[in-house]
Amino acid sequence: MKWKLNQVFGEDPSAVNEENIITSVRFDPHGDFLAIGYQCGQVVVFKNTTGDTFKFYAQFESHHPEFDFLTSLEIEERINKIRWLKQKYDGTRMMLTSNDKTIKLWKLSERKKRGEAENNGMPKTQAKRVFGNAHAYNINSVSLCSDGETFISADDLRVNLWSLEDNKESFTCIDIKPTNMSELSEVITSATFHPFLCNQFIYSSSKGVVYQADMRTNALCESNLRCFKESNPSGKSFFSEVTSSMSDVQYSPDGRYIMARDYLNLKIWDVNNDSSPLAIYNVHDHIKPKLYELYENDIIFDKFECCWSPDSKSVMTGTYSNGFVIFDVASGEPTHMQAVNPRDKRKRRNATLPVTEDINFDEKVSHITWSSKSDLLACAAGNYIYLYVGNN
Amino acid sequence: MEDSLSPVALLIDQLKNEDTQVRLNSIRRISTIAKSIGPERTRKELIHFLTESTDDEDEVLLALSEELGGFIDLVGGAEHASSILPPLESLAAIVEETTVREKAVESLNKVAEAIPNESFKDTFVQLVKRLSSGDWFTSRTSACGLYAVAYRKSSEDTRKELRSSFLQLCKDETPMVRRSAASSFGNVVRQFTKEQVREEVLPIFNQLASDDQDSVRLLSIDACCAVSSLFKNEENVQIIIPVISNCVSDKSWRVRYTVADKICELAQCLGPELTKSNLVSFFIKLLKDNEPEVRTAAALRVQGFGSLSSTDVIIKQILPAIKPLITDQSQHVRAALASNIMGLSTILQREKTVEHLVEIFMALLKDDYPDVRLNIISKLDVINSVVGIELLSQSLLPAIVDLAEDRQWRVRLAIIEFIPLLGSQLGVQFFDEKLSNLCLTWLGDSVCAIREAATLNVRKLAEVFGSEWAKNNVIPKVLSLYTHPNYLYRMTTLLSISQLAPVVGSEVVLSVMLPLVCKMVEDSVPNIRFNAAKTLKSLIPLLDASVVQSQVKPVLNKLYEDQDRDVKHFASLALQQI
Repeated sequence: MKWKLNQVFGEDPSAVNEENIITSVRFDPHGDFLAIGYQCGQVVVFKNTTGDTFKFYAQFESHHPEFDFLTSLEIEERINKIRWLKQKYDGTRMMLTSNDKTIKLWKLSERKKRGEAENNGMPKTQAKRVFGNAHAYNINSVSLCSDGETFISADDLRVNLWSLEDNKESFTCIDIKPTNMSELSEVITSATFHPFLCNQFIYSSSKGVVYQADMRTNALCESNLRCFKESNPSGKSFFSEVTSSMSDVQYSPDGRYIMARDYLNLKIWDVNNDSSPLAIYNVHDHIKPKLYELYENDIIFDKFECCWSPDSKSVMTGTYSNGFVIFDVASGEPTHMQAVNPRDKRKRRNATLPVTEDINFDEKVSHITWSSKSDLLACAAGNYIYLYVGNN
Repeated sequence: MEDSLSPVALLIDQLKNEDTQVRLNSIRRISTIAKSIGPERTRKELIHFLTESTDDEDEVLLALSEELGGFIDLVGGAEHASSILPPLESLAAIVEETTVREKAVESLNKVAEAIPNESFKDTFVQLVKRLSSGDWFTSRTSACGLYAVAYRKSSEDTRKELRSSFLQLCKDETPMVRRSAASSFGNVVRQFTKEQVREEVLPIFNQLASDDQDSVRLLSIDACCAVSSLFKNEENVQIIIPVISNCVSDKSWRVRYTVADKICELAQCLGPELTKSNLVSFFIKLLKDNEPEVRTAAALRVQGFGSLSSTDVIIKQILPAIKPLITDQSQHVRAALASNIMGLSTILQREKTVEHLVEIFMALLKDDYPDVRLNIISKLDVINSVVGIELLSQSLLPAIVDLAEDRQWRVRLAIIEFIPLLGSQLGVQFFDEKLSNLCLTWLGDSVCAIREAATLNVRKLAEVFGSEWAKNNVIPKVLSLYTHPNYLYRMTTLLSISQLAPVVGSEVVLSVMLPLVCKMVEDSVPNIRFNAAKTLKSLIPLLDASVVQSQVKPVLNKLYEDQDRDVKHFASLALQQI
């Protein structure tokens, strides 16, 4: 598959804008819409109009900054996660958006509401429900269940199960908080439901392990977990503990594989074999020489997302210098890409393979999404979103 | 004549208002509008307009769905009932808010009942067909709720189509639709003939019971009752029992929980024979389940299920399964057991209760977790009617004392509420020896809610044991609190007086209480003074007019001159009473 940059959305490259840093991107399950969440709490939605071209569709302010009086801390309005609901009806779509503490269910509807002036053809956006007050720590994931009724939200120590219909109650099905906090050694970094089984979800940890929970065995799931790990990790270095922390974990759409992203690698397991990964792909080995420096300036703690192609045959993840890599799962062969804004006048090397000295650690692709239409993917770097179209 | 002030025009205007509350209020008044314009205009103008107004906030749409259900008379009675269908169809089809759709379905069913049989097919059945084949899952989900009524009022030809399309919905690809179909399954299938069920329904029923989605499987348990009602016992062994058996062993605890939750309904539907031969063993399995939530649900059904089984079965099979639950690891299971097991005593009668159950009660009375003990104590009147309470009094007392001194005030509060009951059953002597001290301690508790409950308690005891008892045992101690250095405890005295005065008799009030209150109006703390005024106000109706004039009024007048504003205020309120 050859990928070609089709569209770029964002602002003038010379205007660096903190507020408009993209913090979350997601195609809807039908491939018709693309939602983008920003540092400033705004969400912008693009619609697939003709062919693979997207046009601006809607924009709304999803979250505002808040102040937590109990802890005297600011709660940022940054949108961490966006998840579209599969259900659609009559010009209406719904999505869940989340910041650090609160999840909201938004409805986008093209039907005009009574009492409202004509909206210039823009759809009406409305917050249907607010799911709040359930997380003592920062929310890192939201995932919808295939039953169409429930979803989970995860923070560092807990995974909560919600019903879309009820925002007054949530059930904590995983709680790994130790009685003595000084014994804390592992936190939850990402959680996601199985694509079609309603009773399974996985979560990744800072220790480089993926846990699989079956909600059928017990109400409290932490007693019955399967662990996916690496039995003989090779190349352990001083920094292994830090680099093995997983930032994202995803099931393949066919439900047969689990993929996790840690700082340096993508690891893929067969769901039937938890002892050892099927494959480990090195994303950016060329930064290894610089690990000490990266540890000093905290860049080693950067988080990257990973995603599957809809046919479960390829995987993708972001890297530095605005690059992203697509691996063919069967062969492990990588395709290195770099998201370059055509309006960016700075000089760029033409080589596709990255070289250690030239790495720009300030530019990274941390958020990515692959449409259910196999030939469409999007990645976000800084203030820009790049849409790629593929053809064989 | 279209008047700009016509009710319908006014409604149209109000419904354009930006304020949701305005729109909501006007929707709530549409029946008034309908009455004023009469049936014909209601059908032609109002309903027509409302059909176009199905896009609004959920609150407004919910009110609209509800109001329309009551419109049958307003559109001119049964023959015109079908004119109400269009707006309801719209609401049922596309509103994503479940509560609105459910209300619309409810109203649609109401209207359907009224539609005359001749026009039923062309109106309601067509509506059901449209919703069932709708593109959006919302319309298909709503359709499921309409089949029961549609089927009942249709002829055999139509029924055939309806059967087929309902069973199609049971296989829908969207879990939401399948859930809705499974919920309505019982009501619809109940109306089929045995042959139709056997041939067309059973395969679908089995499919629902083995659906991938846990949430669909557990809804099939409800349907078991309806399906089983059509078959005889021997047939149910083949048809229903395997389904229940699979659910009892289902991997998902939620499905097993649902079986436990519905076990009594299942026992009633299947009858005593099948209950004995099959359900008992299922019930016991659920009592031993490895998920505490399931054991809790089963424990809560002990009494209900026991009442549907024979004494023999209870003693030989159920009780042995219950015994391990007394020491279950989860306090919720133990608490559930404690709240339910007492009921078995009425089934087993005295002798067997003494033989088998009393030891269980005793063990639960000693549990660590307060809720377990409280649940036993709350059902003591059941025990009393069967075996009498003396048997338990040995273990009861330590348990009560423990609960009365528990660190959690809510536990202390709960036990106070049982004291009058215990008093009436244990008798005065026992009570005086053991429990009266407790009651008085509570009057001096550090938590205000406890002190208040304690004063109420003392009054109830006075009602149970009589005013002589109150005068001799309680009053002296209660009233002695008035010398306490902390004003909050002195308040207790005043509160007690208010509570006790109606039950102790005027002599006590006059000789003991009134002087005390009059003394307390001189207290240094204003709160005491104005509460004294309040107490005097409550005493006035109980005293002779002469006493009121000679003793109460001067005191109140003096309080009225008090410097504190609140004291003045309550004094004046009391004076108004005179």
